[in-house]
Amino acid sequence: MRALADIVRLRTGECRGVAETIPQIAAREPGVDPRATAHVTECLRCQAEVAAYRRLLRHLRSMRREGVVPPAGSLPAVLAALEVAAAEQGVHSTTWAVRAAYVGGITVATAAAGAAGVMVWMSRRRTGWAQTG
Amino acid sequence: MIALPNSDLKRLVEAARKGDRAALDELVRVTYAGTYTLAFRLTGNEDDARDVVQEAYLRAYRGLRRFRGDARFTTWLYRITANCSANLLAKRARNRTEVLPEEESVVDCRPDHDPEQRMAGEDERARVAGALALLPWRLRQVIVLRDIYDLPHGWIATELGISEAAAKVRLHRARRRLRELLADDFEERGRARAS
Repeated sequence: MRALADIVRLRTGECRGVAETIPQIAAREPGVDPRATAHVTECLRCQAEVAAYRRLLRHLRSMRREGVVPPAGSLPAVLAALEVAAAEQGVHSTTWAVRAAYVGGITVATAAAGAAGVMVWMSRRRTGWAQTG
Repeated sequence: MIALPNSDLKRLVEAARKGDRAALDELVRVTYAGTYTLAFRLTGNEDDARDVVQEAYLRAYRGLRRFRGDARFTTWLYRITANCSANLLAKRARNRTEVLPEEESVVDCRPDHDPEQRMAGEDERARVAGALALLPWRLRQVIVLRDIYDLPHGWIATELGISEAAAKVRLHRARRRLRELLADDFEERGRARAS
């Protein structure tokens, strides 16, 4: 027959083995070893630990409903930062538009000058042929 | 966070995406308290929370056009806030030499309280909040995102840049650590109930 001390030691050893899964059991998360769950249903010490974790989790969940009051002046600071960012973005887009227009203008002017040059050259050639002919 | 019907929030988001400044400001106003609360819980102090919130809104503003609307706007904003907080704290930890080692016991700096007050639920909740602030930031983050905001493990893992298994292990460690910090409170209360 097992001595009481041995039984207690065995029991304590089991509790130690189960301790890792207690938070999971308390949070009712899936994937817990069924042997651990079975131990907890029979062990008052582990049940007390599960209850303590549940209380902790309840407090944590209730914190979601409790907002922290932001310090005065922090919201206007964020709005001001957004204002600056929006202005910068506006400046960037304006700069981009000016650059695009500039490049576009140069391209059109170059193309027009090229076309004009080709036309002058062709008309001169035609005149030269007429004179030689 | 100001409780605003989802349809109103969607309308504001849509208008802000189209460049409506007033809608953007209103969007910030209605989501500000909630975002600040999350940032405060994640960082554990007011100054960092302010920095995180500002950075989160700037990022949200720049990315608003990319927001597809298939998730709730607040969830999207939480994600950005969690990410900004992780970046700030990681950067801080890299630059700091006196980082609290995760296995080192935390000094109990709780003020003395009247035994009757200790039994009050609100007081206990305040202790939980205090203990949470004492956790190393890596552990605090997972507790905040999972146990306070009830966000899925996969989501948390993505935001923290770790695997889902690692996120679960970290959560387990965090809960155990928090429980240890509060052991005296909870046991004392249990004894008071029993007697």
